Amino acid sequence: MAAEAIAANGVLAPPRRFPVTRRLFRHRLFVTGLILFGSMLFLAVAADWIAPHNPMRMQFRMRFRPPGEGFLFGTDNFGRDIFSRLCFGARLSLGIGFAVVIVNGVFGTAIGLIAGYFRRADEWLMRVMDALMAFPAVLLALAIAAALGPSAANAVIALSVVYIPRTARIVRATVLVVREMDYVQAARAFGGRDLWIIFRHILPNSLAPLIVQLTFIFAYAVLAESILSFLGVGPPPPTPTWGNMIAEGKDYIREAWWIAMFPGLAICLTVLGLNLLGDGLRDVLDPRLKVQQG
Amino acid sequence: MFWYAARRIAASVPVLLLVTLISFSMMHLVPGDPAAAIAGSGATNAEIEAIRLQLGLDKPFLVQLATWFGGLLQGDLGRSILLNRPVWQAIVERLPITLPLALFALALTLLIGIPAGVIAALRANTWVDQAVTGLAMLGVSVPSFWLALMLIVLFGVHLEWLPTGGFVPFSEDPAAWARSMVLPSISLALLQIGLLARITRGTMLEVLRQDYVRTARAKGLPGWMVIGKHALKNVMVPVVTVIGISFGLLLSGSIVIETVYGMPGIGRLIANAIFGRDYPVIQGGLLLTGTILVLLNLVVDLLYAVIDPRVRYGR
Amino acid sequence: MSALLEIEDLAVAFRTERGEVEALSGVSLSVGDGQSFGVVGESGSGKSLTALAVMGLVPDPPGRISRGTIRFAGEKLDARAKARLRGREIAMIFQEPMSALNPVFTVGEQVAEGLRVHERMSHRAASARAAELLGHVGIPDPVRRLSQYPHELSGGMRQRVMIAAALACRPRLLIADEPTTALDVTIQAQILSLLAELQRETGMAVLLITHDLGVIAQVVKRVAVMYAGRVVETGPVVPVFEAPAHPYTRALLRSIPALNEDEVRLPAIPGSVPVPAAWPPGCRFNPRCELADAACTRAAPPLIAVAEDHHAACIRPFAA
Repeated sequence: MAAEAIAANGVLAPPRRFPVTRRLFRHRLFVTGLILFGSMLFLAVAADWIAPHNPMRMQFRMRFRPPGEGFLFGTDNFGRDIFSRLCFGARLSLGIGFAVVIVNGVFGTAIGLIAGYFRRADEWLMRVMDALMAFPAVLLALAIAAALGPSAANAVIALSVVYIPRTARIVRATVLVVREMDYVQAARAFGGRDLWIIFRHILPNSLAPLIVQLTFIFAYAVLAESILSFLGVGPPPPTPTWGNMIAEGKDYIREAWWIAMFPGLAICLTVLGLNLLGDGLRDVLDPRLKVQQG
Repeated sequence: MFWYAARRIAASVPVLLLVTLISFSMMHLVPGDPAAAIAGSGATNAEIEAIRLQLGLDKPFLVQLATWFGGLLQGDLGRSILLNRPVWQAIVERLPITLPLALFALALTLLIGIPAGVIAALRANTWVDQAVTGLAMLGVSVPSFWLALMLIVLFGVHLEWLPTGGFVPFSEDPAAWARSMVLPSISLALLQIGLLARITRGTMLEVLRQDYVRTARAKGLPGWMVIGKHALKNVMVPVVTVIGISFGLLLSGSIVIETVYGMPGIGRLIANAIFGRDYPVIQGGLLLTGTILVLLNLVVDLLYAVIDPRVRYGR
Repeated sequence: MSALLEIEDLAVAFRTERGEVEALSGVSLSVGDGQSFGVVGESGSGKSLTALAVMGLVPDPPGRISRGTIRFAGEKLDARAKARLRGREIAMIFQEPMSALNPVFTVGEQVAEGLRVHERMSHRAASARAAELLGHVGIPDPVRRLSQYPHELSGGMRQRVMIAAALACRPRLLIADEPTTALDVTIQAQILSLLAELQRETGMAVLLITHDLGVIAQVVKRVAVMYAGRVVETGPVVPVFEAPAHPYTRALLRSIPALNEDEVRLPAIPGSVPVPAAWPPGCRFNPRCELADAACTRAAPPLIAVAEDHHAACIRPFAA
């Protein structure tokens, strides 16, 4: 038995324990993700200083300039500098993603806690969550955003709603486990108030899977927001988002491929970075979690 | 098995009712007067009033819901405002375009995703594994509509191997039809291929560690039988779920893919409805996909029980 | 009695993040044709790994056989020969009959598939033979059991199924790795007597691996005691148990509760088997040995004869 256990795990030496941060920084893919996402974040934060041109300024004599020659990533159909628009687009695209993480995190956690902790609420809350999950996320987000009208705030609402069931389920699952643990039972037996037990015992234990989940939701949100913007129900032009930049480039794809290409690359790198961060966090914080996608 | 199936079917009924309710409520999310929003900013009062009457928006919410639900029971999804024809008819007409597209993409997903995941797991921590996991990671990070555009630039514009868009009906020219399907199917499938490869790899690694795989080896079974029979059947349990999820992603993915390639399918119908605030079509599309996915999940659950006999008795 | 299985100077190494580590160092033992041979030791002593090495099932990577030879019926076994003999000439059963049976295939399928692969039997013939085998290992109503799944059977029944599957192709050697550890005491006795009975009937050799000295005493003729990847004492069961020469064997025997005494003493050996990366120099038992001195840390003691046909790896063995 022992020899097989050893053989199966390949653990022949006692495990070395490091603090979480140190283990994270030894995780190669996590660090790669951090660098990718970090650079995109830098573009967004420092847009005012690093963007060489005004992202809104149209110069008709400069239309369709290819990358190089004074314009790093070329110019678009209105002669606007694509690199500058990309930097300011990062602001909105990442900003919407981050807002979704916050709104979704707060509501998803609250619903998950209530469903997991109070049995009476569980049944119907989870039925509603199941029904919301029954729709493809992007389709539902498109429908909600279309109903509410195109704006950044509405995109945040639409995306938060469609991803809430995922967050709520993860939190609920942890609550169901933690609730039965001896120390929580003891706290209840000693007459601990529900709210106090939730905040003192249950929430901290749900944190690891929650952080992993929210990292992936950030990735989905950036991806889904680009679809919303691409189909015209995201923040309306001329304000640049990566999605609406690609939408504008779509019509000129034959002559000026760079208009659509660079914002798409930015989305790829951001989402890739976030996925790598999520995988790394999961490996280190919560190795039991399986791949959660969809 | 019978009782297991009966329980699963009974449990999906309330979910289906909620799906219906959510689909219907979509129109009432519109801030202010939905009739005015649908008619557009340039509409006259008379036009707005006509729409209000056509959609029954003058009646109380519950009456509207009951009317809509009554229509549903008779197979009536309402009338499209833009197309001025029944939603059901509009969807059925476009099925011959979207269905083959989805099936091609699904076939690509299964034929590439599962083998790639299995091979990566068998060659864990080698360059093969790293290549597969890297590509899979990339696959789940690329926006499909952008990939579609880039494929058009590469294969359509530069190499001129494949058409840049448009749709040729099968009856007109089967060869051209097949060529017009290549790029859209690939664009649609990439995300799911990545997803399925990742999950297959993870599950396979888990299964390969199990004692029964060692037993199969100890019995002296050839390698292909150990992997292809004993391991793979256990891997299929979670993979079947992913295929269910995949189908949902294919449906929503077709909205952008059909838009980019200019294919007049169901995805394009829904995209146009979203642009043009054609709420009956949006409602119908939501209801249909939601229902299909709930039923698909039901089928997946029943398949589970067929693959893994423990499930029949467990829950 | 000629030797059926001969292991000589076998070593298995694992690659770890801190370099290669030997988990098995120079194990030698020999099992005669038709003999029952026991390997005993605590968790981590390398007894199961020895069995896996014989079967060619050491997980590679990270493990590999780094030294030594294994002969079966006179033939030197390489990986290819092991693959050929597995399931035909050498069969193996495992500790956990639940996890060792595939949950998604029927019992009949799992017993019959070896026959179909190795003896090219038809589906029907293999099923009939499987039912026969199940009856033979004491499973009531064998034909009905064929279509059941492992989770529908009790632990003892599952182990019987494992045994039936292992015996399907009439192996000459059966390796049983802790076959009764996961079972209830009464079932343990049943399985052990079944194994003994089947051995008498078929004349196969049995290599029984266990940490349970009681099991060894009950069914085997010869025994090898392993500690930290080495054989520390070997010989016929009676002298080894009655006059143990190695301090580890003595300590192991002392830790068996003596039920006939008024006061149940359980002097467990202090400490536990170290992991391979932390094996001490010299005699690997020295940190836990009450008799150890500086000499014990210098070199690994070889197996030396302490009596006729009885060897121990200790520089100051107890005299018989």
